Amino acid sequence: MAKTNPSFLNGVPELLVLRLLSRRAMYGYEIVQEIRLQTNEGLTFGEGCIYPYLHYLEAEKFVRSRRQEVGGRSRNYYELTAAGHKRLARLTDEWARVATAVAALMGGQHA
Amino acid sequence: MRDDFFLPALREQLAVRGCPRPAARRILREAAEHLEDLELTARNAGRENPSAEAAGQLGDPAVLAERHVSALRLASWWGRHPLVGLGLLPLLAGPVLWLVLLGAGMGGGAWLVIQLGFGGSSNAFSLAAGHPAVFPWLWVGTRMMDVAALALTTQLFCWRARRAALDRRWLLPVGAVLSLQGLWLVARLQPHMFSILFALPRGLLGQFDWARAAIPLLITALHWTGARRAVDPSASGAARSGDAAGSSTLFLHEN
Repeated sequence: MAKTNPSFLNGVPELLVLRLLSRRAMYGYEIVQEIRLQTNEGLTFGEGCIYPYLHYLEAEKFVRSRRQEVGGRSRNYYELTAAGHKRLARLTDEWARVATAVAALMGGQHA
Repeated sequence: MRDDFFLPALREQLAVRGCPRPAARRILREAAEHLEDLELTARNAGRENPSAEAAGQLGDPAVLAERHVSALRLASWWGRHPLVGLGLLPLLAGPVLWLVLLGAGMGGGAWLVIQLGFGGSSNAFSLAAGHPAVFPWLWVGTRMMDVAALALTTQLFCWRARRAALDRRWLLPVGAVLSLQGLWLVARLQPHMFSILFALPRGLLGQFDWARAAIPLLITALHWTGARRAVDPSASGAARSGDAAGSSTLFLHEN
């Protein structure tokens, strides 16, 4: 299966990461796997790239991290903050508007 | 076979990009844990070389280091506005900071002057400076506080630049601006007079006090040497364009 990195995906990683973290706290590896699984392997996150992203979101106070031990293994778990929930709501709204607009245009093209 | 290349390479690439140590420690710990998870998954899937495969999935250490450092820069005000923070601010806030630090240091001197019986009035320093036995000590103290305040001001700006993981070239305006300030703004103690003024300071031999101007340059030079430069510019380019294999943020799969 070929992989591409189209420019229109800019901004989508933030939406996906915030959405996943709104459900429960996760660590980096878990987030990458969840994106792959929940998009039916349609989208994958570059394995190492999740951390610069998470650190940036943490600096912006959209997520916070804490050290937690699960099953004898210690990991940095990330969870959404109140500001992160607001950010997610805004991004979800923007995404819905873009998706609707693009669908309308594409539908018109195929009509 | 265990892959012992990835983490040392990532550590080196973070170091050459001036990544602050606490941030680098965290990045390396998370990378090691991620590697462990990938390796376990590959082993459970019966892969031949799970360790090497895991390292390959994490991507190019140089590209990852560049991404981390870029994220660090974006995360701080100093990283986003280096021109204002390290070019203009030393010019405007440098003298203020120097005065505050000098004032804090001179507080100790004021206490000493009061203890010596010169009173607590505004001209106590000048009175003490008029005393032949006290003057040399007061002169040395003033000089030390002046130099320490200038050094601390420079150190604070350099520290901000390095904490924001900025390129070491941003240390140059800090050194230049504060060096000029060191040449013009001076705390001076003469018999019967203590003053803070804008003037060309005179050294021990009556010449310009170049030593004072050299202090910020010396401190920025030390930081310059400490902040090593990236050795692989091609990696930086790859990171910016996001085209290094396995290192792009999000992939769309084509069936």
